[in-house]
Amino acid sequence: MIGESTPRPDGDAKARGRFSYTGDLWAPGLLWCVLVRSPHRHARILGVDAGAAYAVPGVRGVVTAADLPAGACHGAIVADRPVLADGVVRFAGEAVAAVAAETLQAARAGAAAVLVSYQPLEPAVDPEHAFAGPPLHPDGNVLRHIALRHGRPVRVRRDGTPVEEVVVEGLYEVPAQYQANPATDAALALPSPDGGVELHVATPYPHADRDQVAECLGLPAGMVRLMPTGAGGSGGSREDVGLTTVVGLLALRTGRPVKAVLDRDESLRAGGHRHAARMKYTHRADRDGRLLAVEAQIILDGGAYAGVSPEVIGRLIGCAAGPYMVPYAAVDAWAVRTNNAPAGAMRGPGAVQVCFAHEAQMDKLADALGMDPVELRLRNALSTGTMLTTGQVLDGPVPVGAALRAVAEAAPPAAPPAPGTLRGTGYAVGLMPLLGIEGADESSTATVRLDGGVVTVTCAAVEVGQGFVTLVRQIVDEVLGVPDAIVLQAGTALPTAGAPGVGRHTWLTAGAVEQAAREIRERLLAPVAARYGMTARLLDVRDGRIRSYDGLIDLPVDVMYEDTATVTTAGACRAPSTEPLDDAGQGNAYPAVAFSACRVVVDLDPELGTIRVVDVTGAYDAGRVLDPAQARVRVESSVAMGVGLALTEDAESVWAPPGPWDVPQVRVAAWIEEPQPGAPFGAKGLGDAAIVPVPAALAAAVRNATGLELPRLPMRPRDVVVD
Amino acid sequence: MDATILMPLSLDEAVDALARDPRALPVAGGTDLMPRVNAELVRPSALVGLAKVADLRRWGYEDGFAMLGAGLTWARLADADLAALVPALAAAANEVGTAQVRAMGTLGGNILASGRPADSLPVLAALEATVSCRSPGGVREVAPHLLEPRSGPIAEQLLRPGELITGVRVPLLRGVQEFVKAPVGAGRYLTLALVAGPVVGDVRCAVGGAHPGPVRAFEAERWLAGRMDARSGRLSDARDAADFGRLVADEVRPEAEQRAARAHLRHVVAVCARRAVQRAFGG
Repeated sequence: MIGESTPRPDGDAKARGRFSYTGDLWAPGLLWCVLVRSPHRHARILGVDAGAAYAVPGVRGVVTAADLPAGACHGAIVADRPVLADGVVRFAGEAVAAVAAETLQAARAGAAAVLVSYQPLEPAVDPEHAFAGPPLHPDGNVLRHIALRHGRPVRVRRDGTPVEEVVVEGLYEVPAQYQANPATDAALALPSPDGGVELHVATPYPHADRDQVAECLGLPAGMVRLMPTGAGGSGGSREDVGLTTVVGLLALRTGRPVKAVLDRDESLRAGGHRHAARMKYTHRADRDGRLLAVEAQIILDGGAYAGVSPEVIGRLIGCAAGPYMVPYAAVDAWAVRTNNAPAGAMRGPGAVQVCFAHEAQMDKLADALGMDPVELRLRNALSTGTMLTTGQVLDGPVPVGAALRAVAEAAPPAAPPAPGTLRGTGYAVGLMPLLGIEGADESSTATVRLDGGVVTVTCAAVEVGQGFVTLVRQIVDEVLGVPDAIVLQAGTALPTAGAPGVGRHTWLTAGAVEQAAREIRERLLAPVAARYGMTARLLDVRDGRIRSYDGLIDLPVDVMYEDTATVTTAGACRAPSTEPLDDAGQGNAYPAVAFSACRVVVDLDPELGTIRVVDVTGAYDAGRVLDPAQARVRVESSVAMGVGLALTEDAESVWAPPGPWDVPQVRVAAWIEEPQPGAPFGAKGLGDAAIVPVPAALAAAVRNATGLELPRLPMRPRDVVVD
Repeated sequence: MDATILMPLSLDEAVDALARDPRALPVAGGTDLMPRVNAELVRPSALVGLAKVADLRRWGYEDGFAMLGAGLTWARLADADLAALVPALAAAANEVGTAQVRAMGTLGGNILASGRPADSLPVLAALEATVSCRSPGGVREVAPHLLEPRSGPIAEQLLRPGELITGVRVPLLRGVQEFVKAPVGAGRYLTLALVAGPVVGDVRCAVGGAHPGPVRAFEAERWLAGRMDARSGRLSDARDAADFGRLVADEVRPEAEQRAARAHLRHVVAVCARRAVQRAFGG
């Protein structure tokens, strides 16, 4: 039932290690595929000699760019990334060739035997240098630039006297963050008798992957079938289309099933991580703490290929000033091509980075004004009817003030600081545009079939760990009173459910399911209602009974099904339409925006620089909580990811994910349940908005404890030692 | 993986299995070894599972020593009875990884673990315990504090091919034992074990996580022993703890690639040593 906690169907198997991931799949005659990756960040490929690889016992096939149609490139937005590097490698870890062999060991030995001669070129690893440097790709080095200009500078008050400005500036850096999906990217390809290929991949977006793979293989889309498999988590980007294509190509070449599973080290180098960002901010406010202007220059390191960088810039630009009313904004945001691994989307893409900067600025401003940081934020908070700096008027719920007040008023942690430690408290608020933005054609479909009391839902949306299957069952239970619907993942056999993430399936696919289920309900309840001279609307289906509003009718739910053998209906749900941002970054680009606030309390050992996160208290703009347990999981995982970015994950050193000892119990000060108009049950996706303020609030808490400036993440022990 | 899996039922069977095939590796909890096997960083020809060898999980007394089986898990070492016997080892056990790792990971496995040893070995080095390495030819006792901590993986110096660690022999001391652990970033830790024996002037201190083996700070130990009052066992000056910390850091010189990181590690060693002394002697 909606609003109740339901156990996840895959939870037990995953906890016990019995869940079948792509890497666990097997087919008779299976070959293993291992990629040959570039050790150079930037180099010309002078030649690839696979002769020695074929001499390795068990090797059945080696492919390079020459085996693909000329210019076989893929990319989420712009197809600029070669499936296998063609003539030039642009990041260390880029795939140059692939080997298929009878065993994994033979494939690894074969890959090691492929001789690639490189002529190293000067790599551009700093986005500020790549920005104006020689082009690393025929498409140039600027992946997208938005020069947002909004409003007018405020120089005089209403009474004509000049405004007295308080100005704070800062330079901030956020590193790349690896998603560390529990199961790494993998694919199994089976050659089909028709000359096509069947791909088993844990992709959240089967249609886009299918189309790109078909294009790269030079096959009609119909000859590539893509079946979603059990996904081992998805922090945003999942499944490298290049890998899927290569595995498909090797299956076509060898006529045998081929499987590839990335190891953790490959996965770390292959890209798809959160964009590293460098941000320069200037905030101006009047003496009363009202924001007058936000100016910023933001550079994202897009890595070697465009990926989703243009879209991340589109999301980031609307969040750059924070959830505040800003009369004048001048924000330039660039995504720049470099010789680093291509960035992807990770929970809260774009918004997490700018939140770290704009919230640090708000604290600096509060300090300069001698004002309480919470009070300063409340004074400037967005509310319904106010405007983002993209010029979009917010017509949905905008509970910035409510969320911030909830965390500020929540009881502080009961335990006193550990002896010898400094306690610090920090606050942050963030916003996150949901769904596809800037005119993305956002719709999703689902089919609901009722057969003798058994409900089967078929949709192209993929369960990647977000709890979508549970949600569909809850909706069917809520509308039709059938608690255990069967949810089938259709892969590319059904029309697309669209790009996943940022709350999409919670809204659109769930909306399609709800609509189809409601139609069935109307159709089946109408005859029952008619018998009693009522309309179906006056009847309620709950706990296996059909009851009327006045309690006069109380029938077993089975009467609904007795006259009809099977009913099948399809539902579709479309997001509010949006438009691309113009050159000045203006336009109604976002279908909806979600907000969250966070308070973090830390105890810091000033001598050792060790930080213990004592308490994380959050308030979340949920629209409606559909399943409290699932909602908590979304929030807790977001906090863990946020702690990792803020404290442990140092991109320049050994990758160290946060452990359970780094993350405290998360307290929810408030689920703010103002329904989002147009969304099914008024609910919004939670995970993306929930992570946005976490690193910012953690940094604020450590600043509060130490008085240090701490302009970059992660905050390593040696950065926070106070002598 | 194509390795053979053997499941011996007794210590003799396990030792024989390892002696027959020098490329076989013993596996108990598997928390350190199995990830390396799966990543093919080590390629054993056989794995000798120790789960059914009950003798490895025993412990007992033997004239002034505690004999701890190599198969005791961290969780077991942290229990009250063993914590009373060897407090520093229990303190180390409480700070290892997650509950899952503590439930599976064993003392013997930790002695042989990859990376810079930071958990059991500094404690054993400070206690001057010995590790029992058994082969069909008999048992060899190796003292970790007498090995060369700076010259490559300690496990290679400690164990000969075909030997199995069956346990450790820890002297039972009536003095004070302290263990301090500090994260230094990127998943790395520094640890320090301090033991003040029953006799005044008997101070031993070992640092883990700084080098491939646990490093004893012999000179700093002698200095601190000289600062102890002959009758009360107290330190002569409140500043002695901090001075001792600096001496330990100078002697141990933790390794790191970058200069800034090295400076931080030295600072952390000094703070850990000072705190251990303050806890042990008060002040």
